[in-house]
Amino acid sequence: MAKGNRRGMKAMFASAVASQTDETIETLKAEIESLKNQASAPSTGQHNIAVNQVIPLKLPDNLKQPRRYFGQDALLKLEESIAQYGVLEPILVRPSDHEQYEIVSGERRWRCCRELGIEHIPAVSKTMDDEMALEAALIAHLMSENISPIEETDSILGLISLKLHQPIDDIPPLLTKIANAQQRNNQDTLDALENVIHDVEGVLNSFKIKIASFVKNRLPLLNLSQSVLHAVREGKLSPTNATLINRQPEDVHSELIEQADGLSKKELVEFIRQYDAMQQGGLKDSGASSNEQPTSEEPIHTVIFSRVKKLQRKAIQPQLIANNKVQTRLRNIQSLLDEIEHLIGNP
Amino acid sequence: MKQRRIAIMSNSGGVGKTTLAVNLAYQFARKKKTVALLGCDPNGSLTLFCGLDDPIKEDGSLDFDKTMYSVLSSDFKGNYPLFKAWPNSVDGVDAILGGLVLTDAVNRLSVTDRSEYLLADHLDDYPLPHDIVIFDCPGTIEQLHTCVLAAATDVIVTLKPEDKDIDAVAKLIQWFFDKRKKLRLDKLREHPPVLRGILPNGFKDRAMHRDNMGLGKLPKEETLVGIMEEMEIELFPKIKDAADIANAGAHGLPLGIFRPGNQTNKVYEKIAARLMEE
Repeated sequence: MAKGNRRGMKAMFASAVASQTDETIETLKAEIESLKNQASAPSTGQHNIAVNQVIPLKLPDNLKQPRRYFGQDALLKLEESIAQYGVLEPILVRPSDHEQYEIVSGERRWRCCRELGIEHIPAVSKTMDDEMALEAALIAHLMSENISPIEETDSILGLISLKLHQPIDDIPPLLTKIANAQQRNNQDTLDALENVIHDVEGVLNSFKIKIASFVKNRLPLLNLSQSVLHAVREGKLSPTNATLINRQPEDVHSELIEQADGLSKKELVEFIRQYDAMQQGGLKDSGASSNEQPTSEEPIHTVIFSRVKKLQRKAIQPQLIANNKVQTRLRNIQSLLDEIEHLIGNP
Repeated sequence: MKQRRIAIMSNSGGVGKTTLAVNLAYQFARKKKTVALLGCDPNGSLTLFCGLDDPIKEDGSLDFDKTMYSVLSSDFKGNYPLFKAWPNSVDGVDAILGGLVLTDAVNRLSVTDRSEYLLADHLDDYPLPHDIVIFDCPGTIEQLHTCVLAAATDVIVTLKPEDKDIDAVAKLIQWFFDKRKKLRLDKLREHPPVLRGILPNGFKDRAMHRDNMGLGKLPKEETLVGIMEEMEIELFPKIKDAADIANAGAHGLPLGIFRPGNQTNKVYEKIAARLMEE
C-alpha cells in the first residue's frame, strides 16, 4: 500500500462484520431451539393470539421464500395431534400491518388450527426486518425434523442467496464454479471469489456441509423430473436413489419409484439393470417401438466415442461446458461410465 | 431482568472508560438505582474517580483482599469489599477497587478451573444486592475481558475517533462476537451479553475526527456512522474533548456534580436511559 494512504474504515471492520454475520445463523438457531423448549415452560415473550389475526409471511419479490411442500399424511398427523393436545410449541411471528401477524415459523401448525377451527394459537412475536424474517424462516425450516433433502437444498440456497445478495437462480452455477476451482486448485478463481467462498462456507458450516459435497450430492436434486421430485418430497425416495431413477427414461419413472421403495442404492442399480433387460426383451417381442434407436452400420460404442470427440472440440469454449445443465448431464455420463467400467472390470 | 451488568470496554487506553463508568453510575443513582462499580483495570483509576483511596493495611502496604483481587480468587465466598463512592455527595453507589494487584489475579486465572466463567459464577452464586453492576475494564483485550464478558448482560465500547483507535475497536467488536460464540454464552447465560453501543470520546474539531464521525467528505460507508448503522450497533452522541471532564475525574467527582450544567451530562443521561429500557 502506498505510504500516506489512509486505510478505509470499511476494510478495518470487514472481519468484525464477518464475525457478527456468521453468528446470526447460530443465534437464530438457538432462538428457534428455545421456542421448542417453551412447550414445557412458557416464557414471558409468549402469548396466545387469534388464529384469524395470523397471515403467511409477506416478503418483497427480491426475497423469495423457497417452495414449501406440505405432505398430506404429515399434515393429517399434525392435525390429529393438535386436536388432541393443542399446539405445544409456540409459532414464531412478526407484527404486521392492521394488527396482524406474519408467520416466520409454524405455518403448518397454523393451517391445522384453521382447519380445526381453533381460535387461538400460542405465539412468540418478534420484530424482524424482511431479511431477518426470511433467514429465520429458512433456518427454522432447516431445523424441522421432517424436512426432505430437496427442501433442505432449497432453503440452504435461499440462505446463501440472502447472504450474498444474489438471485437464488445464480447460486447453483456459482457453487459449481467454486467446487470446480477447489478441486482443480484454481488459485486465481479462488482468490477472486475469496469473500464469496467465506460467506458460502459460513452458511454451509452451520449445517455441517462442505461445498464440494453440496454441489455433488444436493444440486443434482434440483434437476429431477416432477414425479421423482414428488417422491423425494414425500420421503419415498432417498436422494441417491432419486438421481439413479432420474437417469432412466421419464416414462418409467413412476414404476421405478414404486419398486425402489426400501431398496439400497446397490439393489436399485441391479433392479434397474434387470428392468432394462426386461423392457428391451419386451420390445423385441412386440417387434415395434417408437423409442427404438435408429439402426446404424457401426457398433454403438464407436458412435459414442466419435460423438465424445466432437464434444471435446466444443469444450474449447468453456462457457458452453460450464452451463449447469450440461454439467449435470456430464456428471450423469460419468456415473454411467463408472457403471460400465464396473461391469466390464476396471483395467 | 433482575440485574443489569454493564461492561465498559475499549481496546486502547485513555478513551474514557472509567469516566463513562462513574458518570453512568451517577446517572443511575439519580434515578434511585443502586450501583456496584467493579474496577477491573490494573491502572486503578476508578479509585481516584470515586474520590477514594487505595485500601491499605496497618503497615502501609496495599490490602489486596479489599480489591477485585479477592473477587477474582477461586476461594471467594461472597464477601465483597465494597466502598461507598462519593460518600459525601451521592447515595447508592458502591465500588470494588481495581489496581496493580489485578495483574497477579490475571496470572492466576490460567491455572483456575472454569476461569472464563469465574466472575460470572461468583456474581451468580453470591448475587450483589445492587440494581446495576458496572465493570470498568482494562484498555487492551486480555483474560479479564473474557471473564467480564461471560458475566455481563450489556457491553459499551468507548473510543477516540482516531484511525488507530477505530481499527482497535473493529478488532474488539470481532473479539466480542467470536468470544460470545466460543464461550457459548447464547446457550449458557439467561441474558447473554449484547453490544449496546459505541461511545466516541474526546472529539476534536480536526479533519480526521470529522471524517471518521461522518462530518467530513468521506462517503458514509467509510465512516463510523455508516458502519455502525450497517452492523446495527448504536452510535451514541459523541463527547467533545473538554477540560471539565478530565478535571471532574481528577477531583474524584462525577461530572454531574462537578459541573452540573455541562452538556455532556445529557449524553451520559441518555446512555443510562437506554440501558434501563428492557
